[in-house]
Amino acid sequence: MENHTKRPDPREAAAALDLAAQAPRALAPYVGSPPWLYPLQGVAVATLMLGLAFLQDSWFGPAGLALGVALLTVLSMTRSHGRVSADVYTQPGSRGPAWIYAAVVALLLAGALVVRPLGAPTWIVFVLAGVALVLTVVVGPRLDRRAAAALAAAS
Amino acid sequence: MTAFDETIHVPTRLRICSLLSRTSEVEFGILRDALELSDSVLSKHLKVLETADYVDLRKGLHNTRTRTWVALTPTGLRAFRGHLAALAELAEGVRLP
Repeated sequence: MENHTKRPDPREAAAALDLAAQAPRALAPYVGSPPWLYPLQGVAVATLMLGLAFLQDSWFGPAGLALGVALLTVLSMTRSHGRVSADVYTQPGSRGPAWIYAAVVALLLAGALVVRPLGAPTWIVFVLAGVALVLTVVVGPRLDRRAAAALAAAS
Repeated sequence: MTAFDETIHVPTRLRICSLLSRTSEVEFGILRDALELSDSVLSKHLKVLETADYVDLRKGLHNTRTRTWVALTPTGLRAFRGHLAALAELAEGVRLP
């Protein structure tokens, strides 16, 4: 097996840096989530929102909250969704949009929690939860593609 | 912190660490295909990295098949970053074509 014991000269060091910088490119074709991941994550987020918004109203609130938390917990515990596990929240190409997505979902959640005590119609909460679900389904695969593109462009 | 690391500096291990540094974990077969290595060569390099506590190997099920996932440990990530910093110091002023 190859083994280097002496320190590289400046040119060899630069070549090694180049090798390290380009290595992640080879992973780009393999980055992606299974098709069920984002729909299930969207359902979990929407269920959690509905559960929190209707927590005081009926059995539906606590049940939704429990189901949402359980789904998100299972999803986070299932570490290997695919054969490459790359967190879209930390990849240079998808980090920005991923945090914007998280911020929008947080705003939708806050909106759902605020409109109920203000006496707004129930359907508004369902619309906000629906928007969170659709947003997750639409944005999720795009984040995967951006992460893959960032890896493909590694240099 | 800069620290030249002879374990990581071997080109194949440098590529393995670089690839793993951009992911949470990678399945063995993907790593083998991406780096265009044989099973045995990849296994040997991973064994060296595992002995140094730089990578973590775990078995898991994927589509009813048992597979091995490889991840860089926090120690491995620190060593890799330190090694890159050491290389950058050594390579200062050098431009590759």
